[in-house]
Amino acid sequence: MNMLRQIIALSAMNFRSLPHRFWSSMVIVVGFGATVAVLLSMLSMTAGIRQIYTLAGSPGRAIIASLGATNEGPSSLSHDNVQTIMAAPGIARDTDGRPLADQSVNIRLPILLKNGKKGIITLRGFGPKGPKVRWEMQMVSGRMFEPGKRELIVGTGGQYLYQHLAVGEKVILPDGEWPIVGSFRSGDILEGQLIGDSDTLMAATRHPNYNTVIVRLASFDSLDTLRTALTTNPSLSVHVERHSDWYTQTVDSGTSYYSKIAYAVGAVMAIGALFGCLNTMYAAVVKRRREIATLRALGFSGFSVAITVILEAILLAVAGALIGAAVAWTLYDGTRDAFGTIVYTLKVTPAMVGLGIFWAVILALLGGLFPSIRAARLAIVDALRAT
Amino acid sequence: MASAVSLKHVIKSYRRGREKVEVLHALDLEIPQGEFLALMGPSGSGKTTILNLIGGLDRADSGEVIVSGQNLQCLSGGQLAKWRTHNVGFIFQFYNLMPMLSAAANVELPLLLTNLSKAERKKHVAVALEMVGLSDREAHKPGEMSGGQQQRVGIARAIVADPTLLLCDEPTGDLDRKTADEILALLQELNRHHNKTIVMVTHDPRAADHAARQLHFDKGQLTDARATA
Amino acid sequence: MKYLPLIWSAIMRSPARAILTLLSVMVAFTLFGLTIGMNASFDAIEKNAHADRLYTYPRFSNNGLPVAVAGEIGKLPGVAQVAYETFLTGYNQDPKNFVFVTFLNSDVRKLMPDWPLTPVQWDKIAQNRTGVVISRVQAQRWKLKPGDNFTVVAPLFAKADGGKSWTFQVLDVAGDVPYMSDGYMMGNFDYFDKSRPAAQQGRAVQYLVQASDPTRTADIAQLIDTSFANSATPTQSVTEKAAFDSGNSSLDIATVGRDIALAGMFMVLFLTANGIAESVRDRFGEFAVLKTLGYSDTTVMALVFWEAALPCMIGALLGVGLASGISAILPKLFSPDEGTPTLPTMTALVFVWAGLSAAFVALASSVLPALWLKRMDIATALSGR
Repeated sequence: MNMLRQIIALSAMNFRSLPHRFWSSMVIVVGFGATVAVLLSMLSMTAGIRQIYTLAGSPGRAIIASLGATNEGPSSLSHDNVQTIMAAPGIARDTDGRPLADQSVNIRLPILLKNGKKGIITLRGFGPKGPKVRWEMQMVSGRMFEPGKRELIVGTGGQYLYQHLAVGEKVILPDGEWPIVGSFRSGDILEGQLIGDSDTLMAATRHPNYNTVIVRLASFDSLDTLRTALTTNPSLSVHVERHSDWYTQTVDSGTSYYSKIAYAVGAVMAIGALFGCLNTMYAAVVKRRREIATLRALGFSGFSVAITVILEAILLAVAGALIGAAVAWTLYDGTRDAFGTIVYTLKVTPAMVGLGIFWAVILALLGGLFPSIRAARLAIVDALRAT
Repeated sequence: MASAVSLKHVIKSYRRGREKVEVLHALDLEIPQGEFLALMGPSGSGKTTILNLIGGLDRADSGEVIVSGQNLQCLSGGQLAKWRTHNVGFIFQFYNLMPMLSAAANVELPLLLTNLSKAERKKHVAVALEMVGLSDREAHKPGEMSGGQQQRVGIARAIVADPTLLLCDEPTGDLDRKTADEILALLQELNRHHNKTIVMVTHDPRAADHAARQLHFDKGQLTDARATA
Repeated sequence: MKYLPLIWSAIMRSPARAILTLLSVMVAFTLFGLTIGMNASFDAIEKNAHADRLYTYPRFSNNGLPVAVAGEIGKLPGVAQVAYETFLTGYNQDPKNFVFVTFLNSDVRKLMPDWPLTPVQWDKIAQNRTGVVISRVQAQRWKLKPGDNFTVVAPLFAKADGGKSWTFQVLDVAGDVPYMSDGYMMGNFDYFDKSRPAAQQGRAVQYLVQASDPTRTADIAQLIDTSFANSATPTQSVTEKAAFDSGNSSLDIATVGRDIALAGMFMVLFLTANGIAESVRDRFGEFAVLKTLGYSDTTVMALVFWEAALPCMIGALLGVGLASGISAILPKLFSPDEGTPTLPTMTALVFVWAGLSAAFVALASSVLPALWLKRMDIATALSGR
């Protein structure tokens, strides 16, 4: 019999006898299952955060903030600043000829999470062109707020995470109650926020200035024109970023820490699973030495026996990895969480599952290697004589 | 002389699948102190069952089992265990030694259950090994010994706690002729010079000849065979 | 224990298996130690929160509250003391080198008696207006010693003359606090305030309030906010206990850490349970022999338990020991620029938890095999050989 047929025949035999080794095989499955579950559950947080940040800013937009401010909150632009900015070149125009620029207000509002903890939600102000600049926004229920009125709309992400944000409920601001008249979806960071009219919000909260200006670029390349115009203007001290770049800077530093931890923890558990795998396969080989010796006496090559040992280890490890991935997916994928004021959705991506399976295969290969060599080198005569 | 063992009207059955098979039918047996008794009979006849009952490893369905004056039916499982350590020594056909322990450690096992200090245990072990002639092998593991030597260790283990009763189940079943004779001679010495009561189950007539009395056991009943001097 | 050689020989029947099991257990417990250690760190931080302290901030504005608010808060019933501070953010030379300076008013020292500044150091801040006292971590980061100058470029905090560059003298170096892993820099509020443009003066971003009754701190926070709700300066107050509660995330770190530790223990449980079950099954006859020698059921079950427990406990000890070693090295792995995040602390409690977990795993693993042995029919088991 040639090598491949030998391996197939032996593997079939192995597979049939697997129920006899059920519990010891489960050691491998559980070991890798736990490792992959833990790894994926931690990575799902960073993947979710990354995703919400990459979606947050569109490359077709630019954001103008005070020099030195890397977040919208600390940035401060006066009324005059905003007029100057809006007159700059490089900004797209609306059908009425006015610039598609949004003078934005960014306020932190204390709020309670659904689990009872105290949190903070972003209360954003839109200028008149706001909805047009943030074109991803779509109303899902109720209606858009009317400019000049004390009304708010809320993102579906915010509704998921925080209390008392259903359409019809009222948010309490210093000048009284503001009803929520609609909810929206946008697929990005905006979804975790409350939105109202900038000027009305500024009056209500005694916010002296606007925070940032967000504009739709006339074209992808007009960023440079806009930037040059604004940074060389002596009456302004601002910096201009592409909206997509604005967020990636923050996300890298935040998530790299968590990613490192995720991989470190995953690696440690994987090593534990590896030892467990070695243990089980080694014991399996010892236990079945009579069987292996008989097969070899019959003519099966040591090499094919070794391959089947490794294959068995890999099969069990991958089964474990898939179960672990399924557990992580069930428990975490799609759940929402807040990272500071950002509401994001945890994601267990196919790439992550692939990574888990890859780890399982590599480690099972290592874990099955030594036992398989032992099986191949088994002294046939001794094993047959064993009581 | 007082009886070492007294079985009165003992009935014992086993479940084989759905059937209940009665192995001992109202058995009576008296074994005087200091006797070397051989129990013979075909396999499956229940000889080992008698041994197990005498040694407190199993319970009779009904009847009395009195060993060294103690009615075993009255003792709980835990009490039986304790009783065994001090009153009975077992010797098996396949030695039943712990493969990972040295000869001395194997012999020491029953003593761990007593309150003897480490030094005292060591002394008893040395004495027992000397009695079976294996003092020079005390550090060896069973895997490094011949069958005869392993059985000697088994015997040493059986006598180290100084029980009055030795129960042997086919002690020479796995040994060649010459070694078997040596072991049987050792058992005789334990019987004659150290007054141990020995009950030996065997199917080998030559082994049985070493005993003082032989009993045949068949179909649940004991029949007297000739007694050898 | 006199039974130790017997138990040891059982474990070492296959040295390879024994070592691999030990390594597996050890690895799982290293993870266990690190995660429980992390939780211990967070707990320690929370415990350090003062029951009688709370912070008041402006509710909506980023621009601080007028310092007169301090006096008004001080008049509220139940308020023992009020102090205020404000911050400056900027960079040193490269915008990547983030700097954070806190400016304290003279009342702060009365409210923070357990802060690691000596009275001499507090005095220095009060007397040297352009001076700062920095913590050891910051001193190491910027390679500063007392007497050095330190310049911060703060684009968001202009001086009255429009300049964005602030220079301070390092007055002294003080100890660090656990919940500020990046250290701190403390300066004089009056100096900072008077150097700002007129329109920005007289404002502080954070107010520290001490309640006279520690059990009513949350009520005082509520009272402050209600009092200012309709004023020109609405406030948001939070007790220090609530503030130290780990973060804004609904998946809090303590739960995640605990879940990881549990997953690791689950792995260990499976491995140990399987190992001991196989071992007992293989040696069933040997246990039968022990019973014939007079070993009671209890003794036999104890032997099985310890056969499971010894590798678990040794592995746990080694694992947590390794975790301690790693925790000691971890701070050196983070470059000063990144700042050190919260790291695990290996307290005696961590070792205790590890020991208990190991014992529990051993117990759970040996239950079933012990039952098999208890129900064993000695006669059958012996004849089976």
